[in-house]
Amino acid sequence: MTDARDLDARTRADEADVARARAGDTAAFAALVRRHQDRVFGFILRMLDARDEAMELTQDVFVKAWQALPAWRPEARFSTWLLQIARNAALDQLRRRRVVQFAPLDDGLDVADGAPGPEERYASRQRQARLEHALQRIAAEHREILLLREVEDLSYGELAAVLGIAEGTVKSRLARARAALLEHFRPSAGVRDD
Amino acid sequence: MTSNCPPADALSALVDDALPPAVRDALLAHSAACPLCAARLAELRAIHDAFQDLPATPLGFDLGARVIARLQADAPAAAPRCPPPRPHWLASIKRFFNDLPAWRAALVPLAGTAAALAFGVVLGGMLLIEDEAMPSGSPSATLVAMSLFDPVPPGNLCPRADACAPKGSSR
Repeated sequence: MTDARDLDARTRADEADVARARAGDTAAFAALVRRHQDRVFGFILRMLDARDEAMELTQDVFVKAWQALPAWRPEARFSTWLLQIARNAALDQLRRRRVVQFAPLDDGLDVADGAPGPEERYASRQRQARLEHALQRIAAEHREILLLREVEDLSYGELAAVLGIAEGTVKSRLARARAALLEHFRPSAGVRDD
Repeated sequence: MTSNCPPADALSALVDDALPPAVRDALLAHSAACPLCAARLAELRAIHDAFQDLPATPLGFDLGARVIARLQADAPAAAPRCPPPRPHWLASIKRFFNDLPAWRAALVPLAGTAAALAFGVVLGGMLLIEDEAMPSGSPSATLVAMSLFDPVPPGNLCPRADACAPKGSSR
């Protein structure tokens, strides 16, 4: 979880850099890019499950952000606004593909080794792999809301703004997304517990 | 799930801590007593925990420099879009036609005044035209037409004897 004080400091830094970038300061915009590149890339990578494509699209997202800078309002956090652009770009790319992709389990995603013992390390790796695998098998609509909530830690209000839906719809869509993910995440596909 | 069990989106919202305190407490109390809801809640928490364990996905290089280089290469197309300034002369013409109705209201009396002045100047100029019959340099040659403004003798239509008689005619 992000520390609230860190978040405030980052938000203030973003606002200051946006103001300078709007005046044409490209160094300020470069600072914004560096601060948010990994987050945007990570989201797009998990949406597309293709590293090269995600890298190119991440660059496109920041170019679009530069062009749309005059339209940004401080009511929304800059990072949330960026994720909205990233989300639209990823969905456009998925529409262009127009095929269902079943990515190999180990494609481009390194599994971190953070558990203390060998059995726990193995279990952790298995769990991560199962999650990545399950994410690529659910609908893009469910994948995006899960990534934005679970990884990007957006609130229900921010999710509503990014996705252009009501907060009530956020709640029900998240529930359906989790149910869909569970179908593929459970260690053994078996009887549903209804 | 039994009919006493909460809806699926309530358990999901519980994982997000997105419920009012009273609702949250009631849900937790129910889950503690309901094996089905307890199992469901455990699954939802498991995927939540799995998300937290996902590895970071750093790009691995400085995208800032690349983006700036691309913006500079595409400079005319990539500049922050502000509405392009209109050429000054175009703005002036547009302003003139926008203001035309107001100008029309002011122009009519002005035009009438100008026309009256011009007519007066023309008439005055005509008054200074020399009559060819008058000897040049004659003091009375300069204001021939001024006789138009002289009082007309009673019974006369012409202000002077020579004002109406054609040249060469005898009276």
